[in-house]
Amino acid sequence: MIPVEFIRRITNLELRLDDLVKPEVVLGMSLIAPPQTLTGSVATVTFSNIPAGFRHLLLMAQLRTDRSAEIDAARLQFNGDTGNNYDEEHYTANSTTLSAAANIAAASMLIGATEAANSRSLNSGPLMIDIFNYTSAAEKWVFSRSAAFGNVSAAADMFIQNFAGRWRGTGAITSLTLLPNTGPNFVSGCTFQLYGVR
Amino acid sequence: MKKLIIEGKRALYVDLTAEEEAARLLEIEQNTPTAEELAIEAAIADAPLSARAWFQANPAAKLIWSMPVAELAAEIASLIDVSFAGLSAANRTRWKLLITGITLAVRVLVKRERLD
Repeated sequence: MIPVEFIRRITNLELRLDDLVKPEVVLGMSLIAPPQTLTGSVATVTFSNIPAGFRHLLLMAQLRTDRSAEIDAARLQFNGDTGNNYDEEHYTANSTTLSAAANIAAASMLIGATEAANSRSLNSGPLMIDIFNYTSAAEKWVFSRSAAFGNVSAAADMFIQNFAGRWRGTGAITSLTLLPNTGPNFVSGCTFQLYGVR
Repeated sequence: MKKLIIEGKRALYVDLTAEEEAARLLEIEQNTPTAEELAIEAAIADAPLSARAWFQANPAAKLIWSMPVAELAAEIASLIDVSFAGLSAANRTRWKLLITGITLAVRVLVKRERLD
């Protein structure tokens, strides 16, 4: 006869193994919405009705705009807030030059570099945004990193940008909107994935 | 203009309202660099790297870097007329020529990367 304790241990072990093969459990992340790929040009992309059941949010995107240049940028707004409630500091590596800048009390948060119309075809710049404690009553911190390499005709075409920003809103974040800095549109092929982090 | 709204498994492409579109275009206009700013950035981009970093860190220097020669000379002349008001007109003219000449020479040298 098999001891009860042995069965319990085996059962627990199976449960743990079961958990391990689910990536969202191992990483503590779940997709809030299925990955989206743009099928046409859009001026804004909004994730709405974001559920409150996570600790942090992670947005991964690959972006390209129709600005007539080799580089553009993306901006971020929360809960449709267009007031002057966004602060950010960022630094840019461009070839071998490092520079920094800040924007205080802006109507949206500058959040990262994107490829633009004169960049190498089919390429879009990676952008990764962490949004910390998005349901807390405090102001919300955002970190992001991004890159754009233009048409790569010179080292001066290459940009990496890191941002730290804060939204002065104190309500839980229930929607977020990405906008091109100049654009005016994000173009077909851009991708967006929003994760909740436990 | 259209916008994409993602809510759970639903993704909707909808037209911006006239009000949203107007607000968006206004914001884009404010974010877009002016032709003058673009010209300055382009001029700086042609500079050797160390000079470029210096110009980026000094906004006033950006103007000196990209200003047309006649405009630059007029700016220097104006500055000297105010700063060296006690000098005779002939001496002020000498200073204007000297400083304008030095400024332009530095600009040419930097562009040729001799100071990098």
